[in-house]
Amino acid sequence: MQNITNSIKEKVIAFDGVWKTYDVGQAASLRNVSLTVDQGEFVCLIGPSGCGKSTILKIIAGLEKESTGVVTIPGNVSMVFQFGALFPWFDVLKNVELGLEMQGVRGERLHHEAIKQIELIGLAEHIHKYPRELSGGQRQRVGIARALAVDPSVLLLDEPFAALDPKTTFELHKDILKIWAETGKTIVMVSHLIEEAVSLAGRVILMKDSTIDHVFSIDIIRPRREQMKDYAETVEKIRKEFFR
Amino acid sequence: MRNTDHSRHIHRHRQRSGPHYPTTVWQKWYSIIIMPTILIILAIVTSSLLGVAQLTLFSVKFNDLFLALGSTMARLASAYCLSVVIALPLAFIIYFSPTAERFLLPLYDIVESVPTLAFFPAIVIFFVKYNFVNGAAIFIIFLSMLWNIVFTVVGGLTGIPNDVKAAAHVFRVKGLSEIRYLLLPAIVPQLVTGSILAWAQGWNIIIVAEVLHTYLPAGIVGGDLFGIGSMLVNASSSGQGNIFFAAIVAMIVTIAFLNFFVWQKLLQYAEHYKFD
Repeated sequence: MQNITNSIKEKVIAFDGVWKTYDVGQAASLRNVSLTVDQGEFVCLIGPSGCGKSTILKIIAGLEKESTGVVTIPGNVSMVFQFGALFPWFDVLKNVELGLEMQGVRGERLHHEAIKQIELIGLAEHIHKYPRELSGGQRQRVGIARALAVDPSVLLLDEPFAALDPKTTFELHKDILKIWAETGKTIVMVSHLIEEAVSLAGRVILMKDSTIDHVFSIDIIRPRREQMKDYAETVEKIRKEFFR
Repeated sequence: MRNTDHSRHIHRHRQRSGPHYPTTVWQKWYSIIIMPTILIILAIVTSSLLGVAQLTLFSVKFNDLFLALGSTMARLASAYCLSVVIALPLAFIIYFSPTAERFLLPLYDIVESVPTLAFFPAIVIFFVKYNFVNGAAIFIIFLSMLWNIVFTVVGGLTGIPNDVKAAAHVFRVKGLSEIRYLLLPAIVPQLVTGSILAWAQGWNIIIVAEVLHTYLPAGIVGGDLFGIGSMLVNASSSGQGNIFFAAIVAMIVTIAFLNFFVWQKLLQYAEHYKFD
């Protein structure tokens, strides 16, 4: 897994002096943010509420437009949302097919691609169930399958585990790492948990007051465990800066 | 952030949550048997008080009664279809354009607050001019139904969770696909609720809408539209207690059946379209 981030250095996301303000006279949501994300990298944005981490994700997803500065993002970005954001009137299959269908994929290929992703995420037996019939973890898996189905170059994760129990979160951590290792996708995740960021990411970006405060490279061998000395030290180091 | 919460209607409809259809045997019996029976007893009492209590039902021509009911239902159904066809674009305009929302929502509020029947004499005269008196009734019912549907649908559209809208954007669900895959399904629960309110309003207004002679210069009873509403009013004014009572019972039974076999089923179906 480590080799993926080390060997490929093409930049897929670049923010250069980016500001974001919603209304004149109000505090900026982003202040002079500059960052780059390499192809295949797993980056995690952490920070207190309102620090601007979700705004960065929204700009990458095309949901928000920067006020000033230069943003370079790839065309094919996909996203997993905090509460799944599934369409309740569609079953699992149709939810996963939707993004593909909007890309013009039709017929047997549409079906085949969607089923492939559903199987990859371990929901083959729930293919015709509706979101209300699934657990929180299963819904998030559908969200992940939907996001992967469109074969994105960048996968955005917006606090996808925040509403889940620890066991489901642990399982999904493993799944995400497996997908990352197998597909080499660039992943940008937002989290409010330092431990989660250290468990998953190769780089942790700490945001405070609407700008980047610290960047931590995490060079701990995966799978990372709380019992590992490096892990505990890194978490502590980030925590100190977080609460400083 | 789009500010739509100022509309009392939208706020009112947003507050509705949870199942709104009978889920227990008792509730089902209540809606199809007990409640209609209570209303029929009330009709008997009312008939007695009015002194038109010659309840010799067998003297009523049931053929006429069913024809009248059919005519009324056809008018209500026509007005309802027209309301839906007009209400959806009016609601979608508000959803798609924040500028339109700023101007149109207050306008809708004002127009909705003006009593529909205030327009009725002018509407009757207009349609009589074109020899289409049915049009006058359908149009006034349409006006009374329209705003219930508009405001509930706007409530449904503004109630779509932001993350679902964001997901639609990220996965490029745009234009007609957005309407087909996101907006139309998202408004199903509110459309059903709005339709129930609209039909209730329609039943209220039908009593007046079919009795055209009071709005026509030198109007006579013969100028009324044939329907359950006019049958009810004319039977009452001419003291034909049996017809009056039969018309009221027919109306109560029809509404109870519509409620049980159409609206409650639709409410149940609409649960599948609700966001968590």
